[in-house]
Amino acid sequence: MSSAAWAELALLIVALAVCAPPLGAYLAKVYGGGAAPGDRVFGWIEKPIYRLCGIDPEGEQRWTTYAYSLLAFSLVSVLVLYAQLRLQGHLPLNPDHFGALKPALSFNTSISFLTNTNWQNYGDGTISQLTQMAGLALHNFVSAAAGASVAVALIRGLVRRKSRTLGSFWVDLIRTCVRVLLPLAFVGAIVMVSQGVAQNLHGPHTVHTVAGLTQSIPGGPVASQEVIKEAGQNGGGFFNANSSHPFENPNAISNFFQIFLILLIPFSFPFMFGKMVGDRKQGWVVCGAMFLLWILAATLAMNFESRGNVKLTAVGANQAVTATQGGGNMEGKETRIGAATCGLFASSTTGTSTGAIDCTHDSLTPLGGSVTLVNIMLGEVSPGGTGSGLYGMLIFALLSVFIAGLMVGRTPEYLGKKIQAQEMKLVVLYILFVPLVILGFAGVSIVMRTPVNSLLNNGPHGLSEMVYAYTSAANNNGSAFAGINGNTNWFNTTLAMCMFVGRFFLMIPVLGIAGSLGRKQLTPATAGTFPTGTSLFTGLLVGVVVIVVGLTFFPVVALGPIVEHLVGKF
Amino acid sequence: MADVIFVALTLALFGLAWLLVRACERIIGPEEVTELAVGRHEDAETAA
Repeated sequence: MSSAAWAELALLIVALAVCAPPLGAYLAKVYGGGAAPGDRVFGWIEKPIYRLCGIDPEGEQRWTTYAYSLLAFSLVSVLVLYAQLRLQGHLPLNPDHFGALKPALSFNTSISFLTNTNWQNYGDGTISQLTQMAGLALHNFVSAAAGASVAVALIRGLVRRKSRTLGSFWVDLIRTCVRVLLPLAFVGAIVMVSQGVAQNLHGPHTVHTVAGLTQSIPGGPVASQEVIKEAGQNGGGFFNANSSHPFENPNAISNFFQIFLILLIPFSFPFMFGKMVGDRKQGWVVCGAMFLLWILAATLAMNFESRGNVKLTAVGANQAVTATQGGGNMEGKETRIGAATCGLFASSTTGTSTGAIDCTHDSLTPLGGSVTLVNIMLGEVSPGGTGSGLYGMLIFALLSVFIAGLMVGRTPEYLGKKIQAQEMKLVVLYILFVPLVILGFAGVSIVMRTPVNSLLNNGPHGLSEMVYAYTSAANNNGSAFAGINGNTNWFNTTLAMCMFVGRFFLMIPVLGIAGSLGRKQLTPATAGTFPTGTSLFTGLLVGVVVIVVGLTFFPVVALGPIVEHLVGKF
Repeated sequence: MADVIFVALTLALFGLAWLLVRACERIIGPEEVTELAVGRHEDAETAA
C-alpha cells in the first residue's frame, strides 16, 4: 500500500477523532431532555411541526407505543412512496417525462428507502426530480432518524430506573431530522457543490463532444441528496453508478469528504452513549470495539486491492505504483479515486449500513470482496448506521456480559441492570432473524432456475453475488456486488422482504429490551460484577461479534470468495 | 391487480411486525413479574 494511502487513512482517523466526540456530546444534549444548543433556532422550526401534528413535546411513550408509532409512521410513509413511484408520470417536476415504475419495482424501491437500505434496482433514467427530492431524499432523512430514535430509546432503557416509558418516538424523530441531519446536510451540500457536484433542477443537456459526437449530460439536485446519502448511511445514489459517477463524486477531496460523512455520525453515537449513561468509559469501550473492526477491515481491503490482481499481472498489466498511476487492482475503479482508496471506501460503506460505492464491488479481488461481504454479515456494527450501529453493538454487549456471567457464575449485569431470561430471549431473536432470511432466501434462490439465470457469473463468484445480494438487503446496506440482474419479480419481492425483516424485526426486540430494562432498578456493583468499562471488555465484545455472527456465515464465505481465491477462477 | 397484491404484501409485513411486538410483550411479561424476578435474584445473591 502506498504512503499516500496510509496518509489518507491517518488523516481520516484524525478528522473523525476531532469531530466525533463533540458531535456525540451535542447529540447527548439533543436527546437528553434538557436545554440543548440552538434551542431558540430549532424550536422555531419544531414547534409548528408539533402543533400541526398534534405532538406533545413533553410526552412519553411505553415501549409498545413507541414501537407502534414507529410502525404506523413507516406504514404511512411507505404507502405514500409507493403511490409516488406509481404516479410520478402524472406529477410535476418531471422534466424528463419519466413514467411509472412497475409494481414489483415500486414495492422493492419503497421498502428499500423506508428501511434505510437504498438497494436500487431501478437504474438511471427512471426517477423524476420530484420523486428524488420528496420521496427518496425525504426517506433518507426519516429512515436515518428512525434508527437514531431506536438507539436513543435503548439508552434511556439502560439509564432509567423503574420507568415505564422511553421518551416519544415522534419527538425523537423530529429532533433528529431538524437538529442533526438537516444542518449537516445543508453545510455538507455546500461543500459538495464547491467540489463540483451537480445541483440544479435542469433536465438533460445535449452537448457536442470534441470527437464530433453528441452526448446527453444529466442534471438534477445531486449535491443535496449526496450528503444525506452518506451522512444518514443511506447509500442510494442519484445516478446508478453512485459515487463512481463524476457528478456525484468528482475528485479526491469529495471522495475523502464522503468517507468522512459515512463514518461521522456512527462514530459519534458511542460518545453520546457514554455521556447519556454518565460513564464516558462505556462509550470509549463501544467506540473501541467499532474502531477495531473497522480499521481491520479497512487495512485488509486497502491492502488486497493495492496488491493488484493476479489475472491482470498474467496479461502483462503494470499494477505497480508509479509517478503516473496509483497502482493496484484497477478493474472496476476510477483513476481519480484509485485502488487503495476504493478499499477504504468499500470497507467503510459496508461496515456502516451505507452501501454507497465508488468502485464496483464485483471487481474487487476475491479477498477484497470477502472483506465487504463479511463486514455486512457482522451486522454492520463497525461502526454501523445512524443509531442502528450503536444498538447493534449494545445487543452484542448484552450477549457478552451474559457469556461472561455464565463464566463467573453470577447474574449478568450491564450498566447496573440485571440481564435476565427475557432480555436474552429478545437478544437471540435479534441475532437469528437476519441469518435466517439471508441463508433461507439465498439457499432457495441458488437452486431455482429463474434467479440463477439473473447471475452473470457461475461458480464461487456466482454464489458470492447471490449471497451478497441477500446479505446486503437483510442488513439494510444496499450495496450490490453487481453481476446480478436484480430487477425481476423474484428479486424485487424477496429482497424487499429481507430488507423489511432486517429492519423492523430487529428494531422491535431492541425496543422490547429497552422497555424491559427501563422497568428495573439499578443494582449496585459488587466484587462479582463484570466490569464493562475496560479494554478487556472491548476485546470480549469484538470476540463475541466475530465468533457468534461471523461463524454463522463462515461456510458460505468459504464456498464463495475463499474458494474463488484459492482456485484463482475470477 | 399487481398494485393490490403488493399493497397487501406490505400490509402483511407490517401485520407480522405488529405480531412481533405482541410476542415480545409476552416474552417480557407484566411489570410485576419483572420486579419479582429481580428481587429473587438479589435475594439469592445476597444469601450466597
